[in-house]
Amino acid sequence: MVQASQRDTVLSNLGLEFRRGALVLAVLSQLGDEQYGYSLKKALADHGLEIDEGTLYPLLRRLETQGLLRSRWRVEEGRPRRYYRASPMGEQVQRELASDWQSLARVMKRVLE
Amino acid sequence: MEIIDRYIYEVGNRLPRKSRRDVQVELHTLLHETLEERARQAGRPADAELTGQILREFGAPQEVADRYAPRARYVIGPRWYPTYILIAKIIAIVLPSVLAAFLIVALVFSKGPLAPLSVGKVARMFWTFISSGLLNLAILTLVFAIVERTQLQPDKEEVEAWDPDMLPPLDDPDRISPGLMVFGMYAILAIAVLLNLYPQWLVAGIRLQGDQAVWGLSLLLPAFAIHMPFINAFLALDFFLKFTVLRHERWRSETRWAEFGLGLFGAAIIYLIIIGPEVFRFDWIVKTLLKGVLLIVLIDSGARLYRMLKRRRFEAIAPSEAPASRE
Repeated sequence: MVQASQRDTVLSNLGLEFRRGALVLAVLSQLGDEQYGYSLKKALADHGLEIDEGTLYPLLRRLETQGLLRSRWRVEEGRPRRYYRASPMGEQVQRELASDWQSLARVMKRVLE
Repeated sequence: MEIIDRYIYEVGNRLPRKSRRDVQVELHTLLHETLEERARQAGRPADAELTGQILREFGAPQEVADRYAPRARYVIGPRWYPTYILIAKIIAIVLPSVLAAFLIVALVFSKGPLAPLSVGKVARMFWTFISSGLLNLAILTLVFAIVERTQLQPDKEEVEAWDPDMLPPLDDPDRISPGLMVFGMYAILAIAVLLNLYPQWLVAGIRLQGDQAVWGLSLLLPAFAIHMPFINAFLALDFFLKFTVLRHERWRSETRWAEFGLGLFGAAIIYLIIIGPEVFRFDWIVKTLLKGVLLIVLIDSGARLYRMLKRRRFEAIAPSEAPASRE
């Protein structure tokens, strides 16, 4: 029982680690156009990638701090919304990451076969 | 939805001041939009139950704050650093001011220009104040490091059992100012170090010897040592109480009662000093002042007791009573 719980914890941590890098790429890829957090979450969900708000918003802030995103506040429907879009550096990083991702996916496919 | 405002306030309270407002505005919009969307999808009103469900999904305020500002292992992290610098600046202003005041008094008493006050004496005086400044800085750093260290490890059980019903109201009279609480802890430690290690720094006056002003007319006589065990016990309890309140981030019923009890203990110590043997230079003057202090402490304790008995205060649910999940 303890072993099963330990395995679940390890699996969950590995899964999170695995997902973390992919999320950065996914988010950057959607921010060629300006989006606010909630619309971005929906856009990702439409592609089948569910991400909870508690992960997405801090991630957006972190990417902005790293200079990969730019943001500005806009008031819409009486609510202040923070809109994000990829910076020129973010766009370049996104292209390079996407290329790395695809070559890694090809390699992994061969490794796992 | 007031509960959302309470939630956002609690999250913001755990974030560095620099990013607090920004995150709070963003979180406000996010929570309201999530609530509306969820209500639309489920075809039900955006009521308190649905709000509670969403807040539980978001997690305890501490968890949310940690996602925005992950807590690395600092000696003094971003949350406390501005307060630390503020108090350090206050000390840096107060100590030289005290030094200047002492120098002026010494010059006035020393009949004539600087001649009687030798360079060596001034240098010793400066050294005393520089070392006291460094000591205060060390105490301050120690207190902040303790606070930082303990807040790095929030009570896991409390975080897991968190429930929106535990959120205090926005106008919570038991909310504390964390900065003031830490300052209180620093002051207690500084007083403890002063009384136990450097009682000679409590100068009652300047002794005149011929034309010279001589330092070191200590306020405390050796007999004062008989009161030190009680004073140390009081300071230790007060430090622990402030530390506990800081951990809870607000006053709770048990800490209010502990504060009341500690007030009475302090009053008892003052009373013992007043009726005891001569322990101060200018004993009757100091004891007359202490009688005034005792009166203030007793009135304050009475007022606290009255407020505790009369006021209906918000009591957060203890983690053990909170529902683990309402899914």
